[in-house]
Parts: sequence; structure tokens; C-alpha cells
Amino acid sequence: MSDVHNCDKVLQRVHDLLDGELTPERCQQLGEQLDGCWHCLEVFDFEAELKMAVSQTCQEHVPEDLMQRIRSALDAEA
Amino acid sequence: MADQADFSEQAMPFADALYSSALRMTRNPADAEDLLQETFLRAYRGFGGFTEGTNLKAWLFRILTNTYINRYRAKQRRPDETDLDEGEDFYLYRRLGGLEAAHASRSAEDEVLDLFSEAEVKAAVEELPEQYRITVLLADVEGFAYKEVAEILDIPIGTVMSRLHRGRRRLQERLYEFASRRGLTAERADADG
Repeated sequence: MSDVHNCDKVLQRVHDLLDGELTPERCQQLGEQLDGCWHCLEVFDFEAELKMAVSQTCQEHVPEDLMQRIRSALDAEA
Repeated sequence: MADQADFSEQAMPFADALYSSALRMTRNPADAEDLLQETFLRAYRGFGGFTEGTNLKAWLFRILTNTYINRYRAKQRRPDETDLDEGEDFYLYRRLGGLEAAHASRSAEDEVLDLFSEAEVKAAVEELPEQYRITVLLADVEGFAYKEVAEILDIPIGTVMSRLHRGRRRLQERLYEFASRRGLTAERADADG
């Protein structure tokens, strides 16, 4: 690893980090590199917020009548 | 061997997650309800083949996606097989990053949600070509690891990563279009010009 900060190199790994695909050692290493660069950290924050926004927005609840229909269908199978 | 008597207790906690994905896959509440019900019935009948202690959520999502692909997609007149290009990284950030100052008062964790309505985010997801949409749903909404997504969809991990990359990029392009339409980006465009 080079000691010189390279934004492109760090940012290539941003989604691997967000997706939980890095080893704990690489997580820590990348976290330190992000903390050391305002630009990289801002990009990371933006991507993290977007991922969270998509996830939260797409959460739905099963309507109660559908839940009851499914329970009845499963009971009928038993 | 899993015991069918335990099925409801173990599987029902995943009903909301399965329904959320079913809605985004079918883009239609009536089809999503049918898809969810059929998924639970198939899962119940096949529960004897589920190995206890392995990933039940991934197993249920595999049944959901297979049921969707085999049954509901056949109803579509034109299967959605569009291929997306690679494209530049951080598309939306590069165009909206400069909005930080203009929205200094918004709370840190809700920044992106404040820029787009729920309807816009849902539309951007639902407009993704199917193979990208399903991959993005599994990884970004359900939080499955690349390896789990690969197993659920029965595709190589490299394909998962490529679809995620391209799907996210398309999603960002779509969100940018929504922002542009509302004039959110005018100031930024002037600065760039």
C-alpha cells in the first residue's frame, strides 16, 4: 500500500465497504483513508445516504387481509 | 430436515420483506399479493427440503424470485431484457454534491430523502430493467451479501457486482432527471457551464 492518498483508488472500494464485502482489516484501513480525505468522505456519505434512502423507501407492510388469506391457505395445506 | 409445523413461526417474520420485493418486482399490488401467497405456499410445501440452521431468508427469497420469473414474467408481452452500460461512477453525487450548502439545515441522515420524494425513489427502482431491479432489491433493500444474491439468482458473483453497478448507476440517472425537472440542479448547471 502506498502512503500517498489516491482518491480514485479509495473510491473504487466505497461500495464494497457499504455492501459489507470487505474484511475487518480492509474496513478499518479504508475507514482511515476516508477520514483523512474530505472529498472521499463526502462521496461515501452521499452513497451511504442514497443506499439507506432506497432501502427505507422500499419497506412495505403486508396488508392484514392478505396476511389472513395466507394463514388460511397454509392452514388448508396442513 | 425442517418440520412443517414450525414453518409459520419461522417464515412469517419475513413476510414484510418478501412483500416489499414482490411489490417492486410486479409493480402491481394485485400481482404482488398473488406472488406473496404463492411463495408462502411453495415454501410450505418445500419446507421439508430446507436445511435447518441455514439461511431461511435467502431460501425464501430464492422461491420468491423463481416464482416471479417463471410465472409473472410470462404474463408480460415484452420481457424486459434491456442491457445497461457501465457508465461513470458516482453519477448523482457529481451532479448534486454541490447542493450541500443550499440545504445546510436538513438533518444529516435524511439528506437524500429530502431531495427526492418517496414516489420518485420507488419509480426510479421500478423503472430499472428487471434483472438489474431484482439484483438492486436483494442487495440494497434486503441487504443480502453478493454471495447470497448470487445463490438466490443462480448467477456468478461477478454478474451480481456488474448488475449492481449498472443498476445503481441507472437509478442515479433517473433520480437526477427527477431533480432536474424540479429545477433543483439549475444553480449547479450554471456553475458548471
